[in-house]
Amino acid sequence: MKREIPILLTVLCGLAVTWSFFSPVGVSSAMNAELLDWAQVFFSVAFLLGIANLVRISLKQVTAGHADSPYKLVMLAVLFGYLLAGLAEIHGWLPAAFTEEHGNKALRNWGHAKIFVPLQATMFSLLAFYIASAAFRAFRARSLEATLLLTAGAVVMLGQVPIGDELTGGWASRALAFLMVHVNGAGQKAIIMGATLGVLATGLRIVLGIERSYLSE
Amino acid sequence: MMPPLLQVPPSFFSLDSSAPPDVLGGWIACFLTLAVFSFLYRDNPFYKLAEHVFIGLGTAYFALQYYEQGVLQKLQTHIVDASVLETVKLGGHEVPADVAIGLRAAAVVLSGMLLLRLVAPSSWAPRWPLAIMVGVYAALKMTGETQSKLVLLVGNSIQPIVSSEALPFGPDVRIEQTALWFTATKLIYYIGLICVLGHFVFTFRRTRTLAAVSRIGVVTLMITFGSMFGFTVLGRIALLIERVAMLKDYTAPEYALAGGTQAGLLATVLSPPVLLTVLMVALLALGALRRRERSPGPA
Amino acid sequence: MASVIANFDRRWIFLAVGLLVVSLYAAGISSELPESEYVRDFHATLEALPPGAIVLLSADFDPASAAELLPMYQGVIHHLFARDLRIVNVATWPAAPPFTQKEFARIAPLYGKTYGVDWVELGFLPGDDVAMGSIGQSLRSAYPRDDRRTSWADLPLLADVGDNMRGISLLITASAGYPGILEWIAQVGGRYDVTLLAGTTAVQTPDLFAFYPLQLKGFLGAATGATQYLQLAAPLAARLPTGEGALDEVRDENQRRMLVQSWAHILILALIVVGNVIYFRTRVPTGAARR
Repeated sequence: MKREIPILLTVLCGLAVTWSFFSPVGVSSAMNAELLDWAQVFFSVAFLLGIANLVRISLKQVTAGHADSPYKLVMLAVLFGYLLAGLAEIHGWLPAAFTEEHGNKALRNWGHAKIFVPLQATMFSLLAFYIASAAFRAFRARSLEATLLLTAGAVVMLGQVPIGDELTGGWASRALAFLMVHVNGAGQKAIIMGATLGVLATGLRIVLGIERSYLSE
Repeated sequence: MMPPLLQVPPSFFSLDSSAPPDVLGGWIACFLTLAVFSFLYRDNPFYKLAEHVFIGLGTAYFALQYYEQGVLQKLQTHIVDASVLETVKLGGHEVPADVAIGLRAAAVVLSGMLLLRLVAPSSWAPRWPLAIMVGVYAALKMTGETQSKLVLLVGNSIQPIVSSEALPFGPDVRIEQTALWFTATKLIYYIGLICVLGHFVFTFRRTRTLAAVSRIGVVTLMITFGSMFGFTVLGRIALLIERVAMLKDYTAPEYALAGGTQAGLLATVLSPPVLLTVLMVALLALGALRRRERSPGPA
Repeated sequence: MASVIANFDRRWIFLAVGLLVVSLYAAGISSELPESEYVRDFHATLEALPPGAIVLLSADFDPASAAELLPMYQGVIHHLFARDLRIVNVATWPAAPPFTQKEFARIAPLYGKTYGVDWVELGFLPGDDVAMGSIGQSLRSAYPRDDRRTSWADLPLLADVGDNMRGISLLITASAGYPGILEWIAQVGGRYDVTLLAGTTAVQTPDLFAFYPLQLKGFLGAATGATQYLQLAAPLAARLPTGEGALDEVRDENQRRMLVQSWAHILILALIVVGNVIYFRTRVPTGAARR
């Protein structure tokens, strides 16, 4: 029963949502809305589970004297400090005068703007340097296919920026438009159609209870 | 994009996210940005600190969002709101408030079962809410994607080869406006589409015809991937330019260490990006010298 | 010479890229871009809406993609308010709401817009595809309250929004990846009678050509699309007390960045060419060629 009940739940909920796609009225619609809300709740709770795991692993590393222990402690301090500040704002534990003056998201938004944004944006901007390095060290026109790939990439890189048209007498952007609409468009459609057939097949297998790999521990 | 900085001078510390940034926040943002950039030299304590602050704050921020919007809003707010009504609308359909509250209470119980994973990882209880989630997601993806990305996309892919609006060749007519261009590009499009689809057919033995179709399909795919590569370069460079723009904004004299310094070379040198860069480079260079002293070259 | 590539310290390339970007940005030169057809279609679709129409604006991005998408978002808010269109703002990425709150707080007063009447912020909804399906089926079920915990009864704009996207004329998403425009097309575009527009990052732009122009009426692709659109939208934006347009600074900044982008692309292409030249001149012939 430990496996059968979850499989039954998957099948019933999957069929209910599928049915409401074909009959989006009445009880079917209500059931669909409720199931979608349930899925969002479970999705959120599952994320919160992840924090517990992160804290557990970090504490284990700190107590084991891992080389990065001081940094782990900083991470935990920031995590719990921000969590506490955020919970205080959400549940109204802060003084009323503070909330009246600054609103109920000020602390969270400050952390987001001054700490989270610079960090995440800069982490991803490092990729610009790595792409330049890879351009020199790895991008090789070893075969016809690789040459086609690099040529198409070059057309896009020139066609998207003002200097491309200046260097090519206006042909870069026109070549880009041709490539993107007619060749890339065809390729993308075919890829998406093929991938969607896969999604359909996998979805059917899950909804009919044939696919059970998500239950394995 | 920050609003014009000089209309209102920044305060040392301000929680108002719509006002000009505060000085303390500016220094913190610049330090963290430069700490991440320092990774380009080598892994170092500045980067490690920034990385761990990122993990800690990012996790906490996301947790608060999911807690407030996914748990409180969906459970507590919904139940509290329903408790003062006689009927509740679910998906446009009226249901008695008791039923709505009962259903949501069941979600609370199932959420508790999911949390049991913390204390009993191999228990059967967390599988129930997971199974419901998987069923809902699978059905939603299957129906929506099939309709939009298969049925509608195939329908929209069938396009006319001859245009009724194309123009004949002429001195003032661009080649893209002509009927010949329209038909030629549509043929290229159809050949590419059919050949890429043919390339993914693996259920038949590759005869010469199918191999030729597959080869044209590969050529189309290579051009497609090349265009994706070109756009990726565009995107990554744009991110870097934005970071440089942000650092440049913080060289304004209002953010300089001396505070209220007049614009000029001194203010620029004492501004967060310049001063912090100099300090970090000096400390990293010192570290490099010490490493070299500790591990001399081969005899 | 084969060892030139293998032994070359890539930090010199990092330095070259960094110096190029910093120096060109500091030079402050900018240039205009010709508008692409899909950007003009994006602009025209907005222009065709009657005043008072409701637009669902979805923020599906985070700080890593804000460089490309935030200027688009600013331009769209200005454009919508300038045309007296009403906005319902949602988000399917958790890091997006602080950006949108800040922009609405800054832009709405320029047009004399009132919260609850002219725009509403509903906030982040977790669940990715499920969130979009929920919004499409019933916005009221998806969001019992708005982001400020105000109930629906106290938000006059929402009285005109019904289930199954009734009352919503247009959906615009600033999309950075998953979940984003492709999921909106799947969960909302095919099921309900609503027009779709998108602003996307560079990485996602090639995918959109499969859906344009039938399932997606127009789109802004990457920083290039953002710049082109801002050139079209800036003349429509409100005037600041200083006399300049509210979008002029954003447009000029993006045009300036496009020039830096140009030379960075030239550098990347030069690196590819040089790397290949070195490779082909130094590669050891194999097989029959060796004999």
